[in-house]
Amino acid sequence: MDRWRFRVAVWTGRILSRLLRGLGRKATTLPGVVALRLDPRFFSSVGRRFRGRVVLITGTNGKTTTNNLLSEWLGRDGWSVISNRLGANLAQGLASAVVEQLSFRRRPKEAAVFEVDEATVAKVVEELKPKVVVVTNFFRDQMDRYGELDRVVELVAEGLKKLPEDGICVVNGDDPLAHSAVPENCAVRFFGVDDPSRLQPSCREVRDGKFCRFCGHALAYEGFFYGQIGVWSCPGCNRSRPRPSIAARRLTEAGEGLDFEVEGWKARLDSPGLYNVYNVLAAYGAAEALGVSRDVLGPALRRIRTGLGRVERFTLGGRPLTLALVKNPAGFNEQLKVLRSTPGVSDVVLVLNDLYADGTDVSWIWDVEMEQLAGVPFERIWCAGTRAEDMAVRVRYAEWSGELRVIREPRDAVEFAAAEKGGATAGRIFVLTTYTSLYPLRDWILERGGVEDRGDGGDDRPFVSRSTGSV
Amino acid sequence: MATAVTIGHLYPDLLDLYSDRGNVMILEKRARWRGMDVEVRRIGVGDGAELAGCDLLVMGGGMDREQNLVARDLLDRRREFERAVDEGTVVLAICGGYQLLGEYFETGRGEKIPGIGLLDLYTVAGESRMVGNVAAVCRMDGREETIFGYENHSGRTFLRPGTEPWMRVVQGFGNNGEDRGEGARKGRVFGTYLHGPLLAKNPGLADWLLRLALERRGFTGELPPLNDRWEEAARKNLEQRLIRLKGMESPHVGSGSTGE
Repeated sequence: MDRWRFRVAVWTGRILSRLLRGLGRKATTLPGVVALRLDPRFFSSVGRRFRGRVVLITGTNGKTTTNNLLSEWLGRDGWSVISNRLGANLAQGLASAVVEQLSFRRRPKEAAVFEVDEATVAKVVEELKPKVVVVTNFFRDQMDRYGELDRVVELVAEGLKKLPEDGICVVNGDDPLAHSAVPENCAVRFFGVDDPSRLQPSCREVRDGKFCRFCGHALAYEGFFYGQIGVWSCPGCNRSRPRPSIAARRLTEAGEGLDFEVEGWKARLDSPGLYNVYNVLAAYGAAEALGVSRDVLGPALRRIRTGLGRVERFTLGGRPLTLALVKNPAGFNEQLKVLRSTPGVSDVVLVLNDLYADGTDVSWIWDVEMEQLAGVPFERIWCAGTRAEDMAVRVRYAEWSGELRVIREPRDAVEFAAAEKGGATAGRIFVLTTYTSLYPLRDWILERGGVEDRGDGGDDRPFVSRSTGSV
Repeated sequence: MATAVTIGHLYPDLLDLYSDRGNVMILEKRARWRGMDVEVRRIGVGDGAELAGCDLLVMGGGMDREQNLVARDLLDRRREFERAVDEGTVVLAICGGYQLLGEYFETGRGEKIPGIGLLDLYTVAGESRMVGNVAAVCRMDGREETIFGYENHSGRTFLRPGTEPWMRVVQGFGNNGEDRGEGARKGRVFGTYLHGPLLAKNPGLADWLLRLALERRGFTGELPPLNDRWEEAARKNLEQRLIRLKGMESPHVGSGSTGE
């Protein structure tokens, strides 16, 4: 009976999904809604089918990148993977991915890998019975939608308590908030950066989790990697940052990327953000827990590409262009560091929207350490989006001294920036955008320009593109 | 203008939700851009930093746990607080800080967290959150100005008779979603639910508060104008956007049903 219901739900959802796609819709939600309606025990069936091979990835930042890295590595090892790689991470998004990708023929190596919204973990964990739950980090994020960060951490902690007995948590131990979400008596592996030369003695950024979630004492730090991520300890209850069992060591800048070591393997990232090192460690930990052989993981680490819309390089009108997503202060701060270390940037485009998926409250830009822009010699900053002027006000107070322009339509801003011939440097255009403009801009840039050839012989062509209306 | 001004930032580590630190940044820079010497004094729980001597005290909002920690310290400083206000210090408190200036905050379980009673009002926890953009009319020295901000609170604040709301809500919920009142004012003490931060898109209000604070230093002149063209553009844009968004406010965050 159960199996029959499940099949009907999958097939109905799949037909609906094809119909929607035929109409040019993205179909990442509705087919899942219908499937879950037809079979309320849908996820139990998925959990049974992929028993011991289900991975959930949650946390504020890095879910999509970790998911994409893990799925790619599993694919390399010959696994067939179903996954919500485009980031639709509520229950119906997970179900939609299953509906579309599930093959009824079992394969010897198959896995279900999902990124999951922080509030959704607890709702699906009992049915899906994951083998691995990855917790990336916790930062303040769109408080109009999620509420207080404490509550978000609690929701994930509740989810982790329901993990099956053979389940394992793969957790960022450098983040005291992620660490605090792990229940006692739970199998856990901590990942982290083990490179004292990267530690900053202090943190100017707005910082979350300053106080111990258990005893309320202010946390002490040997140093910070970014945000509240660092080597922390609690003088009140003696909890402390665990020595990472999956560690990145010997980090060095390599061109526009980063070189480092993971478990004795040499790793190279194509972007300089330290946060991406954590995503690599998270994916590595999950892959190991699934039993992916080290012979596969080692070579995969040698050339790591961060995915879709997460710091991608293009060309437009003969100009190099970088495009990255920003959605909360922690991520924005990290992108600004990437921006500062990128040579030859002449135009910066900041797109701020306030649609539901962006967060309708734009005040978070005041928690961004925009002051680090002061003194950086770009020619122009272009502010765009539904709340472009709010961004302009923020840049004003950062006392950045170049030319500031406001253009409502993000495409126009990028196009004008690309057409800008004036000034000493018509260099790289660096675009930072909130969610709802990311994919429309990306598709438009791909249509008009191309992918930047970085001379490393790889195919940078992204594996998938979303349609303009995909919001 | 060789005036000096001291801004006390109350509990910057604990009450730092919703970008409230922006208000301090804005006041500091608007004073500095006019050639004033500005000192920003960080005042934390249990530290010796003094309220006396501050021309302006700014307090933000925090998460429940942090707010409880602050409530205790604030009670210890009650006397000091009252003295500062008597001596002409201007107080601006946002959201959680605003609630703590009142008589008490009653939680969902009926527990009463005492405030310091600088404002005659009390707050009761509500079931749903009041979230969204706000436009409100504020009276400053006889002239009225529209204030733009964003609110996100579950507490409902009620003013005692004789206490005036600071603003009148045109769009949004305000103090309690019932009486169109937003914030409260008593002399030089101001509280409001609006963040954004409050002063970012309301430079007129920022300067008005600054000017009020400078009275303590015997300053009676006018502040030289600044070029606020982006602020004006942002106000115009939001005004139009609010008309367009009317009826499409973001769904309530309500406990437990986050994100869906």
